[in-house]
Amino acid sequence: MPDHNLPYLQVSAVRKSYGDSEVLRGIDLEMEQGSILALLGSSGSGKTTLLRLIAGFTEPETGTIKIDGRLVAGAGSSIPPERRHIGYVPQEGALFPHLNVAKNITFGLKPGPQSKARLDEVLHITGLSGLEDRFPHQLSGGQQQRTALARALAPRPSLILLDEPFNALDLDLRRAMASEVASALRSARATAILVTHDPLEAFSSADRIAAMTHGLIAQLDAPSKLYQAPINADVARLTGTALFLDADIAQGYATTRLGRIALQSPSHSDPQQAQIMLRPEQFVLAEPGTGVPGTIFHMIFNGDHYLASVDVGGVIIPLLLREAPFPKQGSEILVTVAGSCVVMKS
Amino acid sequence: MPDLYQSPLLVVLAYVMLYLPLAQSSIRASAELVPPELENVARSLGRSPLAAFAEVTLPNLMPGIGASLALVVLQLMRELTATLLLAPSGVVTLATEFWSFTNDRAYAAAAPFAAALVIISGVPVYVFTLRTLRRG
Repeated sequence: MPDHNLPYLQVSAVRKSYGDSEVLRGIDLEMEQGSILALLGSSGSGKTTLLRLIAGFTEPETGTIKIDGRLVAGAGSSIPPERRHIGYVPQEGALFPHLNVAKNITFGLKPGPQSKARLDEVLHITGLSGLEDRFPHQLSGGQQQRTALARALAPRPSLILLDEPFNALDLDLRRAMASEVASALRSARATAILVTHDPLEAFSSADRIAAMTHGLIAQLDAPSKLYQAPINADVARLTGTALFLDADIAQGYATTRLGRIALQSPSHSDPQQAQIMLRPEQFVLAEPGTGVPGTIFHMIFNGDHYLASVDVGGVIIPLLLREAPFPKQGSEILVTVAGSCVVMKS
Repeated sequence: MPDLYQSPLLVVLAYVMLYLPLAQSSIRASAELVPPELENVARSLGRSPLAAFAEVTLPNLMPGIGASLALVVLQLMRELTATLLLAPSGVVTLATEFWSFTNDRAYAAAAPFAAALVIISGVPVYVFTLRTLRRG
C-alpha cells in the first residue's frame, strides 16, 4: 500500500539551464495521488522543461524528483523514461503515423487477450469506440488528441503528463476538450499534470494550479483562490484580465480613486502605499448618490453584453453592462467596486 | 597508394562520395517528417532508445530510404567517368561496355547494353511514378 501521508510526486529544489539561460531556478512541487494539477505559465516560463524532467527526457542539474517515494532523478540517480511508468501526451498528439488507432493505443501493452480488453476499456473512456481501424491522418484534431490520451492511459501509468495537448485545436474545441479529458482522467482515477498557458483550460480541469513565472512556481493554489487572490501582478495577469490601482492601505481598507474598497485579507492593515488588483467583473454601475463619476468614452457590443471603457479621473476601467437601459457613449455614469481587493506584493 | 588504385574498394568509395549527397537529401526530407517527440512517447511506453528507433523512427524513414535507394541506383547505372578511371581492369559495367562499343563505332554491339540500361533505369522511374500517382 502506498503511504498516503507522503506526497505522490515530490519535486525538490530542481534547477535546469540551457546554455547561459537558467530555465528552472529552484522548483519545489508536491502533489497528491489521484489529483489533477495544472502548470500554468506563459511561454518561456519553464513549464514544459519541468514536465520533460519529470518524464525523464532530460535530467536536472541539481535537485531531486520522487514519484511514489521512489527517487527517479537527481542525487546520482537517473531512471530512464521507459522505467518510470509515466504516460506522456505531447503537443499535437504525436501519434505513430504508421500505426492505426488500435495499434497506437496498445503500443505500451504486452500482447495478449488482456491487451484487447484494455483497448476496449480506454476506447470507451475516451469516446473512440468504432475508430480503432483508422490511421492518424484519417482522424480529426480532437480525435487525434483523444487517441494520444488513450495511448497514454492504456498501460495504467502512475502519472500522466499532458504538454499543452490542445494547442492545435481551435479555442472552443480546446476548452471543451480540456473538461472532457479531465473527466476521462478522473474516471480512470489517474494522477495527472496538465501544462497550459490558458487559464480557463486550467480552471476547468485542475484541482490545483501551479502558476509558473520566470522559472519558479510563484503560487500553488486551488483555481478559485488563484483567481481571486493572486500573490503578485504576474500571477494576476496569468490568470485573467487584471486591473491595478494605486491605493493607500489602512485599517482593512484600500482608498483609491474609485473610492474605499475592502481588503480580502485584513493582515495587510499596516498603513502603507501599495497597488491593489481588481478583476473587470468587479466594476459595476452605482446607485444614484453613491460611487464615483466617470465618462463612457467607448462601447463595444458583444452580443449578450456591452463592454464599456470608462474614464474615472484618468483611470480607464472596463465595465460590463448586461441590462437595459444602456447608457450612451459619452454619457456620465456612476461606478463602484463590488467585493474586495487584494494587495499586490511589489 | 598503388595498391588502392584500380581496386574495387576505391570504386565503391568514389560512388559513395559522388552519390551520398543525393541519398542524404532524400532521406533527410523524410526524417524531418518524423518528430523526435515520437521517440519520447515510445520511451514513455516502455521502449529502450534502440527499440524506440526500430519500432517508430525506422518504419517512418523507410519510404525515404527506398526513394533514395532508387534514385542512387538510377544514377549508378549510367555512371561512367569514375568507373572508367578507377575500376580494376577487366571489370565492366553496362555503361562502360556501351561507351567502348560506341567508341569503336560498333553500334549494333552497343545496342543491347543501351537497351538494358534503358529498361533497368526505367524500373525506378516506374515505381516512383506509381507512388506519386497513388499519393496525389
